Amino acid sequence: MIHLATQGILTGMLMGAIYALIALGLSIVFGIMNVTNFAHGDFVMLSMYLSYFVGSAFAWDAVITPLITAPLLFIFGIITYYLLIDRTLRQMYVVQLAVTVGLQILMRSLALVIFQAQPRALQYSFIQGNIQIGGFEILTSRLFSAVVSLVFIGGIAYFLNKTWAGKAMRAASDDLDAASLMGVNYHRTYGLTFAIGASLTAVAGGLLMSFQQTDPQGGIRFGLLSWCVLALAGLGSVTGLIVAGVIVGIVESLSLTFFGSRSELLGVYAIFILVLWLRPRGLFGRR
Amino acid sequence: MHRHLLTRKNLLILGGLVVAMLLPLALSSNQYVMVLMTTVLIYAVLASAWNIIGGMAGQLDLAAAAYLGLGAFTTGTLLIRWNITPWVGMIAGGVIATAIALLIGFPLFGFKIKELWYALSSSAMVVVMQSIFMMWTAVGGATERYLPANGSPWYSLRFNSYTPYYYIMFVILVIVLWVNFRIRYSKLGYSLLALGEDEDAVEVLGVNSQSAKLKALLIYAFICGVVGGLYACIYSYIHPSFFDTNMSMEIAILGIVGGMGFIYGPALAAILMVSFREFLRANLGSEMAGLYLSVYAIILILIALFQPRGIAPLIERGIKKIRSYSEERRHGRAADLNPQ
Amino acid sequence: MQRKALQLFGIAVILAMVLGACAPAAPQAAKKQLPSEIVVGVVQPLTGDFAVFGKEGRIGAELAIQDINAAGGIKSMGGLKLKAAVEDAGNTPDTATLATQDMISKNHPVAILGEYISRFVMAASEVTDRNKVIMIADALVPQITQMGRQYLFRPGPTASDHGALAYHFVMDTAKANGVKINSIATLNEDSANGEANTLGATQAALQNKTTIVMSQEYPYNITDATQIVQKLKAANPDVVIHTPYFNDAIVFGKAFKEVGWYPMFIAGAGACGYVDPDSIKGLGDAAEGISMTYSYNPAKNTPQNKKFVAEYKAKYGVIPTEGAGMNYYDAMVLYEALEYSGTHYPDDPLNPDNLRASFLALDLKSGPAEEVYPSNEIKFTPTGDNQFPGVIVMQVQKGQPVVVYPPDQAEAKPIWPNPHYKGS
Repeated sequence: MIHLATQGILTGMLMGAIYALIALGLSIVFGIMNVTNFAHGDFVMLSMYLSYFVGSAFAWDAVITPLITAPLLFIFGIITYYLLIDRTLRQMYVVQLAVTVGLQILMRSLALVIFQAQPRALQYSFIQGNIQIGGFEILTSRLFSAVVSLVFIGGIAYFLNKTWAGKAMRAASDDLDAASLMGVNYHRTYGLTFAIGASLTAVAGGLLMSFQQTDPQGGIRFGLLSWCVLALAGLGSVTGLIVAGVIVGIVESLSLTFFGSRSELLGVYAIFILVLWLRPRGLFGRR
Repeated sequence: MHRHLLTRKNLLILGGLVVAMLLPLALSSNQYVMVLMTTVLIYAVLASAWNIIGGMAGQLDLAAAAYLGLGAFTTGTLLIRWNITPWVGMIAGGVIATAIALLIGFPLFGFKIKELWYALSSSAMVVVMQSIFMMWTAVGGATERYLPANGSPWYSLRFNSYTPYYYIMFVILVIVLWVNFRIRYSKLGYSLLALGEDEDAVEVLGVNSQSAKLKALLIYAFICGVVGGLYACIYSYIHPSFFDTNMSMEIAILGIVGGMGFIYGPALAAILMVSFREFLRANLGSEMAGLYLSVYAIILILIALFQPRGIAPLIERGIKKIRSYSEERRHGRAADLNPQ
Repeated sequence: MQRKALQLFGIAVILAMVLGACAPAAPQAAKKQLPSEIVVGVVQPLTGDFAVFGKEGRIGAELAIQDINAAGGIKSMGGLKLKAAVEDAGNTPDTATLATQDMISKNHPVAILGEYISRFVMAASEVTDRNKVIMIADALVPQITQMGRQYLFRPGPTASDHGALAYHFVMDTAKANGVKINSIATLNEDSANGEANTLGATQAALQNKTTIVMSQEYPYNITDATQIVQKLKAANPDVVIHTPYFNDAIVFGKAFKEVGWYPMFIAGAGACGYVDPDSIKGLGDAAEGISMTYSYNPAKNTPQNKKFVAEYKAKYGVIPTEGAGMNYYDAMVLYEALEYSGTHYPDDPLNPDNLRASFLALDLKSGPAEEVYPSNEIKFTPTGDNQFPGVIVMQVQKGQPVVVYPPDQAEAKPIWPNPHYKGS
């Protein structure tokens, strides 16, 4: 029993770190620009498809595909920002919801038209396998992905808090009008933020592709989940994402271990709702 | 309010009602149109109900399908287990949906959850409900349950044509629009609208924002629950997939696209957008899978970007223009008759 | 205010009734002469969660209709040709209903093939029964034929047949290899189809007193299966009987590989998961040795089936998938019924009741439908199920799906145990 629980916690923690990375892009976009992107999960889906095509075209391992897919997603992010998001910034937030839900339907249906309905998966990655430590099993692909997630989250946190460009971004987030009055071109800053957010999903997509498959509906799995991690972490807290992701991962894996697979979602979203009720600013929110 | 019954506005409404009631007679030979109109009406009712919580109270609720599903499961279970007519089941479904809404809404508004966070928690609600009904095998479970069709069609609400469903949905729509109208011009309506503008200011004026929002949520949940009962009868089964996050989002989007807070806006958007989507599906659906949804999504995005206040204001402006134009002409003619 | 609204509504009702009474009665259409071509509706989920199956089903139906026409159409009706009309059933009961009704109103088909998902079949057959249109369903869930639908037929086997066959295949093969199976575990995605498969396997196991050490359901869009595999590893069954959809087969295949634990045998049931060409491509070596029950036998050695397989291969580069095969023989069953109706009801062969009687009268032991069908006979029960359902087992051998069971239909011997099995 205790053994099972410990194993569950270990597996959940590693998966949680990946969830944190998936939510990272959303977090900086929402935290800095206050943009609610309901199509975030579908950005992940697109990244996974691109990883699949890059991986099968060059016979690359999924883990290194972000070298190509991240720049592609960056461009995609810029295009999306200037075509859609930029126009919604000064509207009511419901308009943003309508536009990004529209984008979500568009991405899913275009994926079906272009990539077809079959699920796509890459064969093994060099990071597949497992290590045994004291009777517990640790999957190397998850361990590797978790480490990469931590590195990226740490890097982004450093960038936002310590570098000039990051501070400018955050300044723009605090007051859009003041920033533009002071001559900060918020369009460019926001475009850059959105594009960085998008290219971060490419990193997550590459890691996910090393042990998963994708299909046009693949984004659904990650959309609400990312919001859940984000809500737990609280606004503006990049490092909080790690703790939030790990909580989600552990809850998921423990409810799976003890109550069966359907309860996974139930456990995660029940906690999500409770946290929204009890600590609307999240566990580590700065606002 | 006008004193006479037959003002121009009322005549227009009267005309619309008569046409809507006569449509099935003209079109009943084409059952497809009847199915389509019934489907449109389902969405129109749900979107109009959403207007109470979304448009008036300004709470972006994404849980319509949660209440719809509760209504469907209540009605279905009562009919399957105890052969209780869906007429009773619908009301019971509405009551249960309301009770759950109360359970959720009380803490939700108590803790002052708003905007995005309200939207997310309501969206998560749908997933939670789906999981619960998947796991609760006594009434739900993964295998769908079929509604029996015993007794007379009016007892089990299973007809040989869609025309009766159309009329039932139509009556519900009229009632829901009327409820919308009543709320809009009541004390509750004014507090809700004010809440949407600035919640803190309203609180200072002594309006209990929590109870106002809660009332709006309960009315909305009740309507969704009733519709859910009918939904189960129309499609003849109940299944946890009724708790559908996409459908909930679509209903909110219809409310937004229609024009937040305009009484007829969401119904209008449902009529336009649902028929448009269905038109695309019927004509493009077999060509290239997914293409029609892309077209639909692009139109949706364009409306949201370029008509962010919705379709209803557009129409309002159109009517005003026509009116001022005809007025101008009348004045113009009068001027012609009296030179100097 | 309230009274006024009521008055307004009352006036509207009265006006509508008066005007309605004046409306002329719809003319009764009564044409008996044959149309210039017979339309067959193909309504499949081409978008949404089940798009991959709908697409395959559509291909199978269209190929069958093409072959029927090339062979001279419906001979008993003077060589009348068939025409396929396709619609997307979408992802919800609303769209499935709309699509079915639109198909009927627009194209007046004699029969509708498809819908794939049991709950879409239920919503759609509500429409087809009202309109008296034959519906030939390709959903495997047993319950769909138990709801008293008059015009619904299902030539294919049921999901319980699949589950039971998966069990018997494993037991027979183990016996042939001199191994005794002591315990099994069942695993299924939690849909009506998954549950029915597992139920079939469980019942067979109970009858034969095999211990079931673990039963696990999971949502088909699961993202990570390694934990379930770890649980399986702890339970350590000899055999896992798994009913996957499509995505989840890949997720599980990778999870077995990653955790590095395999039971003696992984037997799939009821859907095309592991042995589908796309899954094999995504799984590579991890798919090797996994078996899957199939509602269609691509290796059946008959002229009609060979022709179908060759056409499919020429067009798509792989052997027909289950969905394609099922819809191919479904269309062929329709063809046989039309021929029968043309012979026995020459006055009005396309009348739905005559056509229904023809379906019930069919007893096919030869002919194009039987040549593609995995058993040797097709004969419908009054509820619309096939009395002689046929299921076969395919196994991935050297990266290719190969038919291995039942022995009289097999192309090769099953590989036992799973090549990755390390002993217990």
